[in-house]
Amino acid sequence: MRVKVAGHVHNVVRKSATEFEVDGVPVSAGSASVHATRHTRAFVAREGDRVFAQVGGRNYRLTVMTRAAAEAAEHAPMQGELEAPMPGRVTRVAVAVGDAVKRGQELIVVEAMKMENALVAPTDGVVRSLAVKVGDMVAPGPALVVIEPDPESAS
Amino acid sequence: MPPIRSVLIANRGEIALRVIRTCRAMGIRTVAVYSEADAEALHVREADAARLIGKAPSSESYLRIDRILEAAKEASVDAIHPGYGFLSQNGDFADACASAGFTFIGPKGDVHRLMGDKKAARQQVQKFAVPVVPGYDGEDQSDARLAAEASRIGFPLMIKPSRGGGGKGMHVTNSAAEFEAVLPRARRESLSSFGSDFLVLERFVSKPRHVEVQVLFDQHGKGVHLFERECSVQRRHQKVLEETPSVALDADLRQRLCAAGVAAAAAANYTNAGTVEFLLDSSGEFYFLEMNTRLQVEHPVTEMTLGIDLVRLQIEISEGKPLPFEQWQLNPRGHAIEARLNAEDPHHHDAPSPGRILHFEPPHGPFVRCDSGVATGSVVPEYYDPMIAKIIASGPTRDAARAALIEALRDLVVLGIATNREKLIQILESEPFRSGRIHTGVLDEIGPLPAEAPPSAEDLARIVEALEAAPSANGATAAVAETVPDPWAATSSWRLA
Repeated sequence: MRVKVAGHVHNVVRKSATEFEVDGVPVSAGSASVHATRHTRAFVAREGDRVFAQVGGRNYRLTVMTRAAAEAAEHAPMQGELEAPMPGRVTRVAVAVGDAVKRGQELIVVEAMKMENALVAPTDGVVRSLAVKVGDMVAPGPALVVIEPDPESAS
Repeated sequence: MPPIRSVLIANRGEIALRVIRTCRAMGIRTVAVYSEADAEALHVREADAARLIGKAPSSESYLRIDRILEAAKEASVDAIHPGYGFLSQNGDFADACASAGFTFIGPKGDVHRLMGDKKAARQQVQKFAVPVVPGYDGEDQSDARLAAEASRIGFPLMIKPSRGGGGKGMHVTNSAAEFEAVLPRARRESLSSFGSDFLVLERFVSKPRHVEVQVLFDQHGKGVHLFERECSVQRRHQKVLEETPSVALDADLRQRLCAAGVAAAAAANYTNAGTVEFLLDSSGEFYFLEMNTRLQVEHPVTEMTLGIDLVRLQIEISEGKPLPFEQWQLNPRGHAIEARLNAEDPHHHDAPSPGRILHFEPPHGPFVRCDSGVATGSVVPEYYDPMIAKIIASGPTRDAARAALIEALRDLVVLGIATNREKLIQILESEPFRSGRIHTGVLDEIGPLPAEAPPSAEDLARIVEALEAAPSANGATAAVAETVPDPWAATSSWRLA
């Protein structure tokens, strides 16, 4: 099974009842041992490709990937794409396509649970596309605004 | 006054469930109200009856006095409990309940109005020798006047909504330039959250502790304090951890602070449960901040150390019963700490994380209490406060309570949405919290949660093992699995000890 977690894709293959191979390295899941405790027990919930896990006191978000998607992800270029941090309503759009922006500049404000969350430019650059207007409902995932980084500014 | 036989709870989430629990124990019938976003919510299921009062935004449901009173009439209840937040400190609501013939479980309308008006509240308590922080709360709200007053009071300076509460819309500025930049936003937030852009300026006391006094006044003029709670661990003026007793008080300071709390409440002719909030500076000086004219989120820590039920006392006071104890009979035992579990992502600037909870497992164990508004399958709507549950632990000492709370937070499982669970553990384990050297800015000292680290190879294998054990799921339903240690299925050898 290929899973993406914390920005990396891992290949996890079951070898036996208790043995796994993670990225080619053999490991034991250990949960089928009498010594398994709360600290080695994994809780998982899956919704489509999305996986929520809690193990060893830590929470992880994983994505189950097909082989093709896993390979594509390894070469994905990091653009100045900004997505909504949470589901909410766009209350302000401070830029238009073609605008030059400075790193840290407020671009869009999303409001949820009575809190304003400003999306700021991750880098100096130019607004290449803008997918929202004031009043739109947004959710994490799609890019709301794409900044083409200024080639002269090293972020 | 006749006994209360039925109560409508004008609230949602964990506090609605908290009130339902006490009502049930007292044999009181409960009626829940809910918005369209809460049709499946736990409080709706747990109440004896429930009424839809409007659309998801709270301005169209939980803040609609007319709809709530209509529901109360239809359900013919005796009394209305406002919980906290929403209409709980709205004097017009308290009055409207009374004139419609319902007992409002809380103080009278004019008490809410007096204490809700920061300026009037400060002036009133000052008459009773309760100290206040220097500030400006004048009628002239022009940019020029506010800027002049800001310079007079000095920086750092706090801007807060006059009608506010609960830390929403408050801003600290460190210079005249910053003040000017923040002012428009402060007005906007005040207007959208509280319906008024009237602001109050105040000297910001550096590294203060937030210590508050729980009070209880019956309708016969008798009042007591139920000691203090320290709520210094805050993020953007929202409380994160609360505890009692405060490590910052010795017997003398505790006595003076609690007396000031009783004096402030008496100054307002207070009835029912209330909380007087103070800032305590490092030299032991304290200043009146505000009075919350309702039950507090953090009331359980007081309940844990005193062995009392504050909701029951609220109801009994509303029935006209006298306080069942004298001040000298109240003797707190041990220590209790509460952690607020929020639907928010500590790895993404604490952004709210509404959504469906695919799996929820509350903590268990001695000295642990979990007041939760959610369970497996619950939806956390985007419209309301992000707090979904409170975990409270107690022990004979602060360290024992702290250890029990950390264990409880490790046992707690929430899958499907991000929460601040790991952040709470980080704070409880931090040096400043352990040593008790805390203040309202302590979270900046503790720092952010370390970046999301990838799981170890072993943990990845455990996750995949659990995933394989789960029945496959599509988008509609979630599959939940837990790898349970089963020695009989183990292939490695083992023996019984």
